[in-house]
Amino acid sequence: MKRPLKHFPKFERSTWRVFVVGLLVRLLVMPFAAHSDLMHMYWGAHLIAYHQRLTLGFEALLRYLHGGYLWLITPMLPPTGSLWVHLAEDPSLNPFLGTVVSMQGWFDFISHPQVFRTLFLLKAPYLLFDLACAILLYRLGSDRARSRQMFTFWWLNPILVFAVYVYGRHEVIALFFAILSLYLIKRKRQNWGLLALGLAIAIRYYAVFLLPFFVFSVEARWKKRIQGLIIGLIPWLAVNLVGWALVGSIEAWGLVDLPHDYYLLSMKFEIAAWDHLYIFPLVYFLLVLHRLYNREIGLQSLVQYSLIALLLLFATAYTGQSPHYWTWFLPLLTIATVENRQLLLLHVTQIPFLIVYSFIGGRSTAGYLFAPISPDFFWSLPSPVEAFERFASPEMVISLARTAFSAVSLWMAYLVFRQIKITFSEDPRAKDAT
Amino acid sequence: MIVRRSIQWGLILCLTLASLTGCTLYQIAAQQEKATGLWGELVVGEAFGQSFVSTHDNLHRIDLATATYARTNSAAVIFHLLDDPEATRDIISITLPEPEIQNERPTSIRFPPLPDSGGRSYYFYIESPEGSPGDAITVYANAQDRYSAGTAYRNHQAVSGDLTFTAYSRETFTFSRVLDDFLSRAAQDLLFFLCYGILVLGLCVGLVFLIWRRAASKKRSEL
Repeated sequence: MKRPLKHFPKFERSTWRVFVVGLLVRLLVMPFAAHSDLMHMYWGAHLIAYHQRLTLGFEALLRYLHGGYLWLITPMLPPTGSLWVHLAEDPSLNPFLGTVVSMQGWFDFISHPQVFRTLFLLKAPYLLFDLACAILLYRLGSDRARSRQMFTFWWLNPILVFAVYVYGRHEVIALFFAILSLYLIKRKRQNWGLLALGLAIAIRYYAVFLLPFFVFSVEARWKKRIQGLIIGLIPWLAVNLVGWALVGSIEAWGLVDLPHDYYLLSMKFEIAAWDHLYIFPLVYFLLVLHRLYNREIGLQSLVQYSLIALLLLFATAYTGQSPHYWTWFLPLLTIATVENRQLLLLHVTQIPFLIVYSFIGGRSTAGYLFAPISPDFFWSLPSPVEAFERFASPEMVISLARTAFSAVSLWMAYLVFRQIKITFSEDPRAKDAT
Repeated sequence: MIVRRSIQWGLILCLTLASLTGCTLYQIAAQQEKATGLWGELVVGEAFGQSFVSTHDNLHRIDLATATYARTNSAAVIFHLLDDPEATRDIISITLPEPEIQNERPTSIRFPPLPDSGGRSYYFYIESPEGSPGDAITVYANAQDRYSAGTAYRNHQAVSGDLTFTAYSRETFTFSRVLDDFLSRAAQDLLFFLCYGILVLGLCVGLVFLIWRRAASKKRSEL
């Protein structure tokens, strides 16, 4: 009988050092930093766990995951009534989503005497998913040196630490399923891999952009490819079907309403009235076509195409208000940097530009994040924009950083694109692509 | 090497602590930051105003989103702060020369801190007695009523929507005050901090052990 854990590569001492340093950094920020997005998710979860409001719809799977966890840790949290203060008569009204109510709700929450314990516990499941991601990446390495490099890149990545432990976002859950998908595909379990990607899609929709590259890079025959696309969409379809059957609510409607959809279309050329050329969809479809006509398949090709797609997304779409989006490309970049060390340096270059780009969020992405330590003081800290607006136009400074970030991202995409093995076929339906 | 690094980190820590000692910061006391459009020219006879409630003491500054139509105007603007629209006496009245009116960012109007402003309602308005069409400024406003604690006023009559503004109060923080605030709150959850401290301390000890092992093995290999 096979025992996969037996073949698990052991951590070297240097990897243990990286592990301890990364864990310390995470633990040091977990109880002291938070953004209202964390509470927004847990507010929906508390309605499920304590008020039996079994709602479906947008982000339903995530809310149930958080709700189940919240129910489990209830004895360790402060009394429910003191933590989840209902400011409005309608208990389903989320105080962490809105304008005036949200400020009061948020201030009440961070001023709670046991806020540190609460924040630590609410973020604890993210730590488990994060660790699972790091271990899977370690196992994805083809040798010990590569495994160590991938583990280090992931575990010490400041973008990840900021998005998950300072900002308190749940991105790492979807990232875990995306990495699991890569791992399973490497182990030649294509269908399970696509199902894992499907779970990532059901949790965070961005993963749907990766689906064509995953399917076309692992399957050569069209019959298998169509089967793969269906498998990849099964979890999301199941969530919608359950919602429709039980409460007549379809998650897809929530998705259509989101203003976030327009972020993808933010860069465009206006050809004429009612006739626009959207840049991200344009380059994305070009990349899909390139993938279709290329007969090379395999994990490397999958990683390269998927990474390029996400780099193009960040280079052309509006993401400044949501720094957690920038974690999406990290798993793929982790694998790609092992093959191309230039990407590591370029990624390091991206980080300061991203920091300036994140100033677009004003105080909410600056001092407010550490408000639990001393609410009065951190709520008074000016945002970086307020600090330098006397000397230069903040809009210009942020836009310049954004432009530089786009330039670096496009250059990274080019470097990865250059490494893609290309064997073009006249007909993309060719069967002998293997 | 270790001593030098310790000194460097100690200096950084001291500078950080020193920078926190006695720093004066601005807290947001009221805010409506979204705009849906401009309100037209502020000409003679017009007054653009907004009521609001200051959530903090020491109200000190109001940032009002203004526009100059990207031109040089000559008419000065007068800012008034009152208790309410019916009040007859100004608390503050400031004349802003035209160059102080911003086009691409809010115009900051600063005045001596109002000590007991926390929880009190105020009304401010601007007028331009010499403003004429083509030589006047304007303000940004939101047509929807986004700020529930106040409303916009045009010629001292309440209208729907709000001006785009931020009111700031001024407060001085010292490092000891911030630390006291944190410690007093942390003291209310000692059990958590005990477990948390043990966890963090354990990891620190583990890290020191790993570094010491590395140094020892390096020394052995050199020998």
